[in-house]
Amino acid sequence: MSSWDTEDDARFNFLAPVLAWLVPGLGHWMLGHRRRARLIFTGIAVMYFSGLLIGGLDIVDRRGDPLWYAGQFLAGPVTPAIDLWRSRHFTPDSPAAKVNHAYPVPSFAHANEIPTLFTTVAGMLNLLAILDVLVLPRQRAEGESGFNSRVGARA
Amino acid sequence: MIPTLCSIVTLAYRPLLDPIDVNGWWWWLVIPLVFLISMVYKAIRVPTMRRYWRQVIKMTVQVMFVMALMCVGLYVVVIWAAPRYF
Repeated sequence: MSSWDTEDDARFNFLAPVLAWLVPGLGHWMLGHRRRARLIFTGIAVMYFSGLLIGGLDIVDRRGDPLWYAGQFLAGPVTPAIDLWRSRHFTPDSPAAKVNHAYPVPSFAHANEIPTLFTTVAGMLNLLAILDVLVLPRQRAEGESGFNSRVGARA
Repeated sequence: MIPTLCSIVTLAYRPLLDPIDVNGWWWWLVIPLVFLISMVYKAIRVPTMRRYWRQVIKMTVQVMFVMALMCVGLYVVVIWAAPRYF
């Protein structure tokens, strides 16, 4: 039986999902799940920035890869910020590029596919975290290990 | 001397600007990817955090094992069975 089906165990949180999108794990942090929040943040941040380090800022491209961008967008406002910053300041015509060629070099093949996958999966996992804090079982929400047998096993 | 230095500087990896050439070893990246997915997924799903890391390792190993099995299966079909029977 799903934990969502149990009587009054579920409660809606409207602020927590917004916070969870702004910073992965912040929704859980607000609800008192500090350890879960740290792990969610660490996992998503490492995955997202590993993707950026492998593929460069070029992998976040709203116009070039709109479907992948939709998944990356779920990782938080960092995605539109990168897209905006890159499209405004890191183009071959920008002043920085004319001085020292400081603009993202386009990546191809696996150097583009793998980091795009990393960043999009990070966004999809953050969607799980957002949905988790949207309706959190009351017993679980009350404490870090406050999962009670009445709710049923979730893992 | 100066042209040599310039070429070295130009060829150096610039984080967030240059992609890393992963074409020869990209499949190894599946291990940290699966580990991080397991880490976040289990942080959301486990009822208590008591055996958290054990469950993360277990899920990572399970996913890697199934992917390895699928690799072997596809190898057998593509390299051995398909050329022989189709």
